Amino acid sequence: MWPVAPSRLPGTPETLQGETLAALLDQLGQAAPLGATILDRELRFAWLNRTMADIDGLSMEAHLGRSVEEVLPDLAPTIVPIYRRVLEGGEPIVELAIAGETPARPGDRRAWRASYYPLRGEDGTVRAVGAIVLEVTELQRLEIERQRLLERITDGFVSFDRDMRYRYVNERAAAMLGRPTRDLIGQGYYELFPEAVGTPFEQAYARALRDQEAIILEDHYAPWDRWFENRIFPSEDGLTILFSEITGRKRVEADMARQRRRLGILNSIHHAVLMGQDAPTMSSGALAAVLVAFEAQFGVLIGGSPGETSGTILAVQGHGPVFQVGSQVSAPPDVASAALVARITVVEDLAARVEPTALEQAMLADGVRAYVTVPLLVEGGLAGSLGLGWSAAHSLDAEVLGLLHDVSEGLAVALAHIVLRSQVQAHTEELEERVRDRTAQLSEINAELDAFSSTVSHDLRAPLRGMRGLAQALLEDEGDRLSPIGRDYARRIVAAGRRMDELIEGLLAYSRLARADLRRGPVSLARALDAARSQLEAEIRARGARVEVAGPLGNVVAHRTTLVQVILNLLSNACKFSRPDERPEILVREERGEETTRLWVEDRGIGIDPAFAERIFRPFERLHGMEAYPGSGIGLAIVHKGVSRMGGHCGVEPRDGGGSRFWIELPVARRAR
Amino acid sequence: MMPIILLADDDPDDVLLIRRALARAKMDHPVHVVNDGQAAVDYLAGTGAYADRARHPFPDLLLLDIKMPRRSGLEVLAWLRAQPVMGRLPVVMLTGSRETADVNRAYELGANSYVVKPGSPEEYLDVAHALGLYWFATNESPDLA
Repeated sequence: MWPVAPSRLPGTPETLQGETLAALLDQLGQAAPLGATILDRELRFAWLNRTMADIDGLSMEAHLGRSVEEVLPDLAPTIVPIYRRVLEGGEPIVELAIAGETPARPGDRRAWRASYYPLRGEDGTVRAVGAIVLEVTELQRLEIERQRLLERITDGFVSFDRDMRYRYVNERAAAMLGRPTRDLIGQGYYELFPEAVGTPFEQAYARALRDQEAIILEDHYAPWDRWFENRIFPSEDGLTILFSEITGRKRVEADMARQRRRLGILNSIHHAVLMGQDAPTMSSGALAAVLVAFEAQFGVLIGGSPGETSGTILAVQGHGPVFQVGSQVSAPPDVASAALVARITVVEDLAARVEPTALEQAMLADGVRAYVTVPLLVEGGLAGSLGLGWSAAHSLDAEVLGLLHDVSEGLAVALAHIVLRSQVQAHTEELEERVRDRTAQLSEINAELDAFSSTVSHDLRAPLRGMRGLAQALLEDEGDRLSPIGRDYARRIVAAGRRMDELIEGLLAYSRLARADLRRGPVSLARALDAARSQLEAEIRARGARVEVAGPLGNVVAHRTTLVQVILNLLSNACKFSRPDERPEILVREERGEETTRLWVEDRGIGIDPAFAERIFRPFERLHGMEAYPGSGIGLAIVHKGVSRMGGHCGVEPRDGGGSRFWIELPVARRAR
Repeated sequence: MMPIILLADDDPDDVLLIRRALARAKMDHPVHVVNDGQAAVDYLAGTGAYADRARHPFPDLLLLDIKMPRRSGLEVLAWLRAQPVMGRLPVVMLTGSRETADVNRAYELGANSYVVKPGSPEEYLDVAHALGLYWFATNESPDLA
């Protein structure tokens, strides 16, 4: 209940006639989101609203009629003196920050903003105290957090008023600006940092304030030679700026851009080299790529070696007839020595040269106004030099020179590659020519051999046939009239003729075998052996020889006719070189391996001295006299030639108990023809 | 009428041995001999020295050597096979060469047989017997005129 409340006041609208103002005010007081209370002079609760009861954490009834000490023992020492001051002083105390605990949340320190008003009676004396209390615990917490948050920002954070005076500066910003916060607040930015005037940052701040538009700016702050990123947020009453230093990032980015550019140039050089068909197109392609990269109008690529005072021009771009691909240029002494110490020579304005060299005069005539020569070094050695020219005076900053140096390394490697490649090409061509020459020689020799064989076949044998045939005819037709000595002579002529015919036949067979195109395929050893045996049947029967085959025989890769001839010669050899008065016994067997197989032909004959084991496979090697073992001496040579022409080997070993064991080795075939 | 043999061979020893073998084989066929390839062509064509067909009658069998002066036996064979009617003449190559290239070429050009000259008179006799038996007793001859 309101202690002082006239039930009616003048001016109350007709619509509220009958309602007491006290009842209406009580309802309003109860509904307000502020705590409100009235205490009497004894500081007892006379009235309070619901919000106040909630703040204290006690019911309305627990308040009314009780003193502050009784109801709020923890808070009383703080607020009782305030109440007393108001009671005694009669002046209100407003917007006071109060902090403490109430029974609503014991142990939890809360904050309020409270105003205290003296309430007077009809007589004008202070009869009671009214208090209005706003709970600000949450608000305060948020504010603290905001402060902490601002300090935690790793970026600099500043805010300015409209006149660009510092309103707020976080620690990080203060550190970056190099002054303590207290020296900054309230000070004008351009008074403190006059050097900022005229920078892109000043322009951005002015624009943000004018246009009320947020701006993000990344730029170089020249006075400090550092890069900054600024996020500028304008408002009616000033600017808030978040800023951070990005100098490191900018350096990395610049490095990356340089690397990218360098790689791009190197890539185009290597592309030109790889795509070029020959040394000239490779060189001119690489030079063109460099020209484009450095926006040069003239270029010369010179190949040379250390110690040489001149080099060969490999490629030219833009120059007149003085520079021609393939011609020699002698480097001016200063350029040569610069090249030796791996230094780049730059002439930024050729026209200003007092005593231009002959080469420089030629360049001037071509329209060159600035040039640079770069030594091309591979593994410390000079591989050549690169000259670039511009048609206007041209300055090269450190970055371009660095790039030029990097590119020169790539170009030097490319140059070495070009030289190697042209050497390889020259070698290849030389080799191909040699192969062509050799092939031509070989086919000439083959043709001569063919002609020779044909001559031997026709012309040499014809008179021999005559000698032999006519001596035989003499014996047959005139034998009666010859003496026994005459008949013996005639018989010897016949025998000598036959022997020579055999020799010629053997020689021809051998040379046919050496030259023939032997097409190989799978051949059954058993069938080849059968064929050889049947061709040799007469001789086998005449000598009473026995040929035994031990075990099954497999398939080999061979030329069938040649293989039959080889086996026939081996069998014939085994028959022939038997012991006198002994029947030849021949054993044929196979020793099969994974890749190759050996066919053994073993006899119990007279055997071969191991010292001659190699020689007997040569043509016309004979180990025995003609009387005892007649023959051409070509049989085993044919074996050797035939087997090696079929990609195999052959040999002979002595047999235990006398005799020889001949073998031939050929590749194994999976199936027979 | 006895079949006529034309022997084209430049080696008189071979000619002698062949004639002797034919005689020994009791083949008393008339044997006409020419000593080079050009003469063989002239004889067959009936031109020049061989225009008189009464003295140089067209043969029933040609024994043809390969290695001869002026024109080789293979050239004669090629020419002969290009002629109408007379090109049917049976030809036996009788030569000293055993070279594969010669044998293959002769058959390609149309030789009917290829015999390598033997080394001894006995073998010559065998060859003479075989030729007579095959070409004059077994084989059926074509029309040649």
